[in-house]
Amino acid sequence: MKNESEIIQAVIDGYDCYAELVERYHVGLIIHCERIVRDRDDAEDIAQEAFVKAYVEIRRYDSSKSRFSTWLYRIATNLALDYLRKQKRKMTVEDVEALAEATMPTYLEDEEREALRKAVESLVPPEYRRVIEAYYWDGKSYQEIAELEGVPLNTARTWLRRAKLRLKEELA
Amino acid sequence: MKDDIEKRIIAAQPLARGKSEFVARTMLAVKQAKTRETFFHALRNTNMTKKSLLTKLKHLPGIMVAAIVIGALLFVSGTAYAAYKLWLSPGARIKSVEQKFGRDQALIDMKNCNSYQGKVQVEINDDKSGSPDEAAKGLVAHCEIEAIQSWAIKDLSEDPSSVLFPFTINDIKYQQVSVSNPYKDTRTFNLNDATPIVFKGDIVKLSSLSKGDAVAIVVSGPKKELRALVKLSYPVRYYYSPNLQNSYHTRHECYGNPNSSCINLPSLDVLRDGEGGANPDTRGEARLIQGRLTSYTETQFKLQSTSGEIYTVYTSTNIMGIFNAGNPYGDIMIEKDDVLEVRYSQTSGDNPKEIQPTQYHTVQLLLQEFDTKAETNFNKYHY
Repeated sequence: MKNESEIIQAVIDGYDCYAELVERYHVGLIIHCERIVRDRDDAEDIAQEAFVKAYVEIRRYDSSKSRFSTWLYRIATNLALDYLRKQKRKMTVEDVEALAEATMPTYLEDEEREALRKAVESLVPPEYRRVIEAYYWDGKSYQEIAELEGVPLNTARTWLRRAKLRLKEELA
Repeated sequence: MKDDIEKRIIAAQPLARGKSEFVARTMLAVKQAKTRETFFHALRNTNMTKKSLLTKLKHLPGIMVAAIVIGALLFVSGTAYAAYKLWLSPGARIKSVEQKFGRDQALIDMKNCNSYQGKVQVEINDDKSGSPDEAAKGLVAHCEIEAIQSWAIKDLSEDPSSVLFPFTINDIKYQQVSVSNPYKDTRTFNLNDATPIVFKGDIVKLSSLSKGDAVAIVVSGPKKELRALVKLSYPVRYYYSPNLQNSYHTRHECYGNPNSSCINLPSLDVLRDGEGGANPDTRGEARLIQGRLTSYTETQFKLQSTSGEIYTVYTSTNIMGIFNAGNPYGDIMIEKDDVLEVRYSQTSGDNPKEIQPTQYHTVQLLLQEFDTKAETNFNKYHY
């Protein structure tokens, strides 16, 4: 697997591999945007716009200044804040930064990644595993998860919250 | 400790998972972004026929309609490429060279370039590995690739195009060209009569190409078919050579501090955004300053910018002490006279020469690679 800087250089050099970056970051970015704008469809539109903008301006990205994900999240955050402004809604910069920090994928060593995947697979009850996978890995919304599981929206939210807590305890 | 469970779960996402329809939709949008706002795009998207084009233009005076339609039809008909410049060839003229900061500073006038417009100041490294002339060619090479990419993405093909460069022509046989790049990637392409061969924005004949020429290749479609072959203006090293690219660096006004000059150089993190007690107020206006470290204590450091002004940065932690004790980059230590860069934000009530912990975002130590023959690339930049 290519590392991030190799992919970015390849994109700049004209190779068709931008999808690798989209695949890598889209779920976290959609969740991040959704937490700002509070609407899943709008969040997907904004995340998409952020990817397009990042692609168009990728030559301006300076890897010595920040990680690509930080830059991408900043683009998305600005777009989301513009969206809020148009809707005459507000959010403080501090809140937005905290949100970005929560969902920006961190670097994991192979061993840690494996341990986390195993911990997710072993989550009980099994619905906890399913909601974690659906939300964080498949990019499904709360609504979609509730429909898949045949439970009310709030139940899906509660399962996800508890699953996260359990996972945290398992990995502590 | 910060709760990072969400980011760790997301980072552990297996490769095969994800929202595939979102990825597909986004890649389509990327493709559209490449082609939008072009004349070709307008023709394709409206399925405009010669008749409809005439209909749409009928309100214009007859002579103008004739000129536009002939131009448009020639443009799409393939053989008429030669009547037009596909892109304006970028150029550079060295206006002056002066000594400053112990180095040659070249003022280069750029034309037909997207990234560099008007006069660009370039600093040549003090190891004499570069020269103003080499730097000017390097800038033109950069602009030329940009122009080719812009043309290929906007005008050349329905499919997303990729410009691959730099390649050297190894062999040319009848309608067949074999090329290789500095990574030893060798490819052979069959040309046909419709394959544009371009040099400096003009369509040229295959006979204009010779072994050893530097070229860029434009490919597109799932099979990466050749769409165009572009002869480059300079040898390969101007398009890809870390040594050449590190032999000069552009200088510009420091953002928000126009009296001082800042240089684009590699740097090491002394303090990353959000670390070391920095609590930046991002509502202010962004500012950038670079300067020589004239003194530092546990709670502040002073930088003298190129304008001679002193900027005092107050810190809530002993960031120089922590950096030097931690040795995060081997033996690199921050010392007096090193050149640091501070990014910060400033609101109207702030003293412009005193930067508080609530203002700064990042502190970086400027490096200049390949300036000396030292074995490490972490050579600090001094002036």
